[in-house]
Amino acid sequence: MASRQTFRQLRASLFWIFCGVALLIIIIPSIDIIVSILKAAIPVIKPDIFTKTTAQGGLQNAILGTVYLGVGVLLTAGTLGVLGGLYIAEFAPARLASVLRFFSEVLSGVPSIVIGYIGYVTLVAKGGLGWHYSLLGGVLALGALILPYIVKTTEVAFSGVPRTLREGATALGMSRVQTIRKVLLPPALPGIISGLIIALAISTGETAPLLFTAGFSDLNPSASLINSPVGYLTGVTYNDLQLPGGNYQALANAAAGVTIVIILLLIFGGRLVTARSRRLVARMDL
Amino acid sequence: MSAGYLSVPAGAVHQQELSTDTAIRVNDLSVLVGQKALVDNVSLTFPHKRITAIVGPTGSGKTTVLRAINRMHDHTPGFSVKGDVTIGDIDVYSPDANLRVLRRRVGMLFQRANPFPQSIQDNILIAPKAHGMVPKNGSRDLCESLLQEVGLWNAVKDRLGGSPFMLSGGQQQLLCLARMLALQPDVALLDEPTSALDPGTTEHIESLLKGLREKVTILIVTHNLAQALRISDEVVFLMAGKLVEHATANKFFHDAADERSREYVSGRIG
Ligand SMILES: Nc1ncnc2c1ncn2[C@@H]1O[C@H](COP(=O)(O)OP(=O)(O)OP(=O)(O)O)[C@@H](O)[C@H]1O
Ligand SMILES: [Mg+2]
Repeated sequence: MASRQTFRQLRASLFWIFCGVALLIIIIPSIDIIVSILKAAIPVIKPDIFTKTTAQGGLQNAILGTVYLGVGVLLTAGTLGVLGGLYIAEFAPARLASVLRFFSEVLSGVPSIVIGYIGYVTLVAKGGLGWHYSLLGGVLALGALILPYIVKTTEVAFSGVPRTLREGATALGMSRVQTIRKVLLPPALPGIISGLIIALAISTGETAPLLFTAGFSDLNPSASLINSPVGYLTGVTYNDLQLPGGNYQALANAAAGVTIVIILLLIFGGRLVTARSRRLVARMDL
Repeated sequence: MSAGYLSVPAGAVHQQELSTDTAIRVNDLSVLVGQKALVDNVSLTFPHKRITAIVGPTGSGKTTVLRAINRMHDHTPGFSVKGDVTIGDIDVYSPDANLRVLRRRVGMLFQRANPFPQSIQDNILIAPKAHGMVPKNGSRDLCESLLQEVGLWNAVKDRLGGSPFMLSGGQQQLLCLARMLALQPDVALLDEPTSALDPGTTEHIESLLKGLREKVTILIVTHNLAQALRISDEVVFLMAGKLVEHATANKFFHDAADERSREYVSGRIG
């Protein structure tokens, strides 16, 4: 009896040790990456990197480009993804929903470099739409990359709303649109927003699809959507790390630092929203 | 009849015959999942402005019958419904039945309170607004009179804009009752509305229901025979998806025609 209990305790503690090790394997490298990036970046981040372009040794054009790309991605993939997730969760017949889900999963499995290449062939090159390197091309490539993620989080947010709420609305004779707006959207919204924020964070850190579609520019982004390449933070890191000379290295490090800070802020923002939504759902007690 | 609680309380309606004033007619109703009949060829009439209790052992199809009446099975994958249901002039399963009108006239209260994630006031007004039934500037009065009617006004009058999830379970159920009454339904379908509530709140809801009988036809599913006896005029007894007996409450509890009903009343079938 005693030995069996000891065995059980031993097994339990082994389990916890295993969990702890797994956790450390995840945590240590990410902290290591963040710390080493920030360590390299902090000494070289000076106020004038925000006011000068990369041509002048700053990052202004890259920061602006990253922001433009982010806004563009939210407007296009964000809108389309939220509507798509809503359609799959609430409107599509079961068969069609599973077909759409399948294609969305396939898209999410396409490597980002391949998305970039397809973007190049269809949007940038003469044989395709011939936009040259452009903001719109970059937006569409990045959008294709995060679209499945937004579709998924939106679908989960809607289908996670308790069935009892849906039935309550149906039993009151509310139309589907009224039900969605008044009953399903409030509890689904935090999940949708945090999905958008995380998707934005993912797209902020991408490089490959942009190299093929947005190209790169040392000047601030122009007003035109096509025919004009755009700079962006990850591009600076990618390009300048390969160039000889301390100045280039410093700028690459600064760009990596700014990128990681933006991503961390987005992720923390997303977590705040998620925590809020958890509290709301917990209070609903359904 | 040994159980003490089964004696008829003073003031109960001593109706001996089933009412002929029919509000809801159910004809050859079957609810199928694939080939399996959850409800098997049930024909029934529910009397106008009376309370009918639907009783039966667990899994006997009470909820399934109730939900067939306002077409709640429409969105349950795999379910199909056969037969007819008529409520006044509405042919519920006709292809051109207007579901919005049907559900405006037939309210439903669920076993667990399901307030919407909106303010208390919006919970009450949401359905009348959806049906364009709120008088201009009258929303506040409508809200107050409904909350008064269910006895919730004093508890919530200072936090109409607050969340309904801060209310107790019983208060939430009263809010859902007020929300249902906001559409002034002709029929109310109640699925074990008090099974999660304490005796005090249960009694309060029972007396509300007795008062509502003046204007609403009430169908209530309940596991609680004492409750059925306290509030119902007629009783429908189901077993395994089939109708066993439909009788006045008085007859059902004291002189049921079917042996199985007598066994159920005496507690030998659970
Ligand atoms: N989605 C479903 N698929 C298959 N069978 C189902 C489904 N939902 C319910 N049933 C079955 O239908 C039968 C009737 O269920 P119903 O919920 O109407 O019973 P009930 O009388 O309300 O029971 P209870 O008193 O426990 O609430 C049960 O045997 C149940 O297992
Ligand atoms: Mg039931």
